[in-house]
Parts: sequence; C-alpha cells; structure tokens
Amino acid sequence: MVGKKKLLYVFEDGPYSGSAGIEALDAVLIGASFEQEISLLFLNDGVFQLNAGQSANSQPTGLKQYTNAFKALSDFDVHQIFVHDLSLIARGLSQKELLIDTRLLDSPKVAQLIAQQDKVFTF
Amino acid sequence: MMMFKPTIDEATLVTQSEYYIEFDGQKFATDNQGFLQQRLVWNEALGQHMAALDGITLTGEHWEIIHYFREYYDDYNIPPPMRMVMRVFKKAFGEENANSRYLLKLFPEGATKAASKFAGLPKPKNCK
Amino acid sequence: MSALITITESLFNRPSLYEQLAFASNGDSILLIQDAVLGLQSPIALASFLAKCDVQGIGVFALQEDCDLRGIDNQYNTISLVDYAGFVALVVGNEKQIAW
Repeated sequence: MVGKKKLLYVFEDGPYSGSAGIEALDAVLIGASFEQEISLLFLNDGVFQLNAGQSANSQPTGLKQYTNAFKALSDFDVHQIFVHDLSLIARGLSQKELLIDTRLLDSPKVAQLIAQQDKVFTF
Repeated sequence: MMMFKPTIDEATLVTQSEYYIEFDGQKFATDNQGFLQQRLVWNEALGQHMAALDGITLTGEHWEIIHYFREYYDDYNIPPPMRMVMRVFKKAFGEENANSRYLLKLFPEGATKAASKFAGLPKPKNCK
Repeated sequence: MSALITITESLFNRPSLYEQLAFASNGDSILLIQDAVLGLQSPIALASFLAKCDVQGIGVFALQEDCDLRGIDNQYNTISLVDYAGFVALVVGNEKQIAW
C-alpha cells in the first residue's frame, strides 16, 4: 500500500463565475474516495463558495446548487476546511455565515499549510 | 446573466436526446447508459422498470438504498459515499449483511452506479 | 450620449476601477453583474468607488438575480438592485453600452 498523500484543494473564485467550483468539488470527492489526506482552502473570492443563502435553485435559472455538497464533505471524511481570515473579512463575510464549520488561518498559516502538502490543486 | 451551462436537471427534451426509455406510454430521455436526463420525472414504477431493463428485480433491500440515494442527492446534489450507505443498510437490515459483498450481490454493476441509475439520478462522476 | 457600463468581473480583482471612472461621464450608469456583485457584501470595499460615482453623477446598479444566486446582501443604499426588466430598461435608456 502506498502511504496517504496530503492533498490541498484551493478555491480562489466565487461560485457560478464558471465551472471551476464544480470541478474543484468533483476533484475533492474523487480524492476522498482514494482515502487521501485532504484539505480545502478558501482564498480571495473563493470564500463566497461557502456563503450560506445562495439561491441557486430559484427560478428561472434552475442552476444546480452544487455548493450544498460542501455540507456533505464530512460524510466523505473530509474535515480540514480552511479559510483565509483576511479574504473573509475583506469581503464582508464572517465565519458564522458560512455553510460549514471552518478554521480561519492568517497569511503565515496559509503559507505553512501550503508548504506541508504533497500536492496543491488550484481552481 | 449566467456564463454557465444549464445542468442536466434543466428540462432536456426527449426530442433532443438520442437515448430514451419507453415506459407507461411515455418516453423518458436518458444518456447512453440509461441514466435519466431529468430526475424529477422519476417515480418508483419507472425505477422498477429501469432495474428490470438491467435484469434486476427490486426488493425491499434495494429500495432502502435507492430511497437513501434520492434523499441524499436532494440534500447535497451528490450521491452518498459507500460508508454512509453501509451505515444505513446496517440500521435497516442488521449487521450480518452490511458488507460490500452483499451490496454487490444486490447491485452487480456496483451499488453507487446502479442505485443512482434506478433512483433516476445522473451518472456519478467517478463511475465509468 | 449616455452610456450603460457593465462590469462582470469581481471588483476585488479590479483595484484600478477607481481610476477608470475618469473615463465615464455625467449621466452614465454602471451595472454590476455576475462576479461584480460580490463587492456589495462588503460595507467598505466599494465606499470610495461609490463616493466618486456620486460626485461624477454616475448611477450604480446591480442585478438582483446575480446577488441572490450568490447569497449577497447589498450593504449600500446608493446601489439600486434591478431585475431583468430593470436591466432592459437601462439598456434601452442609454444610447450605448460598454463593457468594462
């Protein structure tokens, strides 16, 4: 058996600005199914991915509200969800407005997190 | 103002689909592997029919899993992970049969893929 | 000849937008759509931009649909939210349309 790899998935764009968010989430779930050690980091506009109260299911767009799947991450044994504190604050959001439990990191801690990984995927 | 392609949940007309299932005097659009294009048109009778097309007669055990897949998808827009399916199965039918071998007996094509299909959900992303 | 200026990109990625206002004229309207609505969530991010718009006589609007989709809670009473009908009215009410 190969040892677990530390994989970090970085979300940098807001939801619905393209398909990056959906693709990142798919990649996370596939990584999780291979039982790797997975962390997610939300940076810059990426923090809006976790913003609660997105109305994607409202008419007339009928868009799939894929961000609901973030709430299922713990079922997939993905528990390391990090948010860059300044990105969040600068965008008028707070931790309690987010869809799921997260840990806030300051910039040096973000750098540390990235340095610890075997692979980093940016979306 | 969406730069976004509509997802499969949006109305996909039968006439635009090459593949479909005929059931109860109606045509239901599918992909090339028989997954429904629109999960909202699904009902149990159609699920039963879809399973029959794959040579499977659905039992209470199948339904327990299929319904769980639908509920989970409604909440999260993704199929549940296997260990959650196992947990639900154990609760409903006891410890002794809650293993992947037994699940594979129920769904020879693989539980995630087949249960998604018979539940009228799109094909899971990590299935061939 | 008033213009409707549409912005689609996140304003957090557009630090030069304030300077770009020099190219807009009195009576123009700015409509924020898609990722550009993200800025409305922060009560400070757009303050100086909006103050300058006010001085220059430029109206600022944002598409309600795109705010709702992203769960954005508009923090500015100087930004009017418009629906698609309002969007059309802005297009019709201006001689030309420019994308920034």
